[in-house]
Amino acid sequence: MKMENSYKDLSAEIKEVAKKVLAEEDVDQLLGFAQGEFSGLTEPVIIKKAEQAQRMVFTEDATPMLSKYLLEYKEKKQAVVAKPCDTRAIAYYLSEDIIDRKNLVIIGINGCPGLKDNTACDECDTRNPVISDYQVGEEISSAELAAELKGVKYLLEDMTPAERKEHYSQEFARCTQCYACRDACPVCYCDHCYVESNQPEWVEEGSSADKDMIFHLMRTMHMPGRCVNCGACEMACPEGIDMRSMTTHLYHKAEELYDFRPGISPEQPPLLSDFSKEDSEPGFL
Amino acid sequence: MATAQQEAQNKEEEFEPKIIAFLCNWCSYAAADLAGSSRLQYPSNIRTIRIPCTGRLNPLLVIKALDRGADGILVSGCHPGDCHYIDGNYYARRRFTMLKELLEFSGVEPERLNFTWCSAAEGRRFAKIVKQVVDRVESVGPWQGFLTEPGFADGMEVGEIEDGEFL
Repeated sequence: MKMENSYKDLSAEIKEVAKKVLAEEDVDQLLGFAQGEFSGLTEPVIIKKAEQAQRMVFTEDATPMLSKYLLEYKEKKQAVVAKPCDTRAIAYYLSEDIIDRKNLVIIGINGCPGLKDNTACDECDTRNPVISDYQVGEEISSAELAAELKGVKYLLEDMTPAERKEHYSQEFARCTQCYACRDACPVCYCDHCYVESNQPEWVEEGSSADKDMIFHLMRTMHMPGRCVNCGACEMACPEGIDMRSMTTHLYHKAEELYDFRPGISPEQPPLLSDFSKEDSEPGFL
Repeated sequence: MATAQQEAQNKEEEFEPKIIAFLCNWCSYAAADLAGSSRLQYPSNIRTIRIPCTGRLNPLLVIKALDRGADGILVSGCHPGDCHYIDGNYYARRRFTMLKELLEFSGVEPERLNFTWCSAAEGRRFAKIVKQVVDRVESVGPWQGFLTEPGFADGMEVGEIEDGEFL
């Protein structure tokens, strides 16, 4: 059994499946990746005809989260090429009922080989789609995945809080509040974002490192129970700020405290819209 | 001059923490009332904000309070099962736990973040809790902000860009 699917094999399979989906299913459009015509980069594309599917690829640079593009056209019937993290985001959308399952055809990528420079892929715990109609590639068995994850540590776990404070002081000094992290995040989809609200003004005008930290703390506070740990925020950051360590911490804490993993099933209620009477009270007076 | 200096020094020694207390209208706020009408003595460091239910407490408000210079936070609601809105405090419990995890992870001392339950009949407990919270916050000293030194990172200066970087 091979450990990982190659990008080439996956691309070829995606092309075949995409053609089949466009021919057989009654979809308005298909979201996938293709080589940019001028840039040569891997870019998201909207494909409407089966013959255009020949352009499609899957490479190590396929960083944009196509799940987020689904929301843009959610009244249409769409097919989407989904990385495992995308499928988790989609399962999360379904659990919040913001998109109709009947309008979706999901082409899941089995045994995702990961993306270049994405630290989230090194500690990825979902390498097969959680929800899909078609699949490409070969599945990674759970035993294989467990072996790979053995000994993997998540970011900044070993530092003391004081060291992390120092670390974040350095990191967030570079933030320019461009909100690329928010825009790239598949589970950040409010129509009206708190950062743009001026009644109340959560994030004040001006850009000092302090304000940047407030922005990031508030953004992270929207993430527990949502973040699927895809690493899109960090990949989108033009300053290379490591902000995923905060969301990842909450991701692992939610699993530890509430046995909750976001986007595992469409039936799962969101973490903070649910409770158990037996929830623990760590550090309560 | 000497007295002014001494006064300043004394001021520094006597750190009076400013604590924002988010109190549930139906229980803890009434407990604070009861503590007052029973003439129980407790430190005057808390600034009370009455909220309809701890479930109403947007976690961002806690971040905002710290941003605006509060030294500590106290959130107090009804005991689990006693919520006026049936289950508001259960939601609050999860939310606050996550907020606490996040803030502690990013370097806020756990002593500044306090969450407790206090019913309307527990005036004595409320006074005790406030004393305890003030002691906890005093033990970690004044709040210095979320970052160690706000401003530019080491080695970064404004206006110094080499021409080559544009090419």
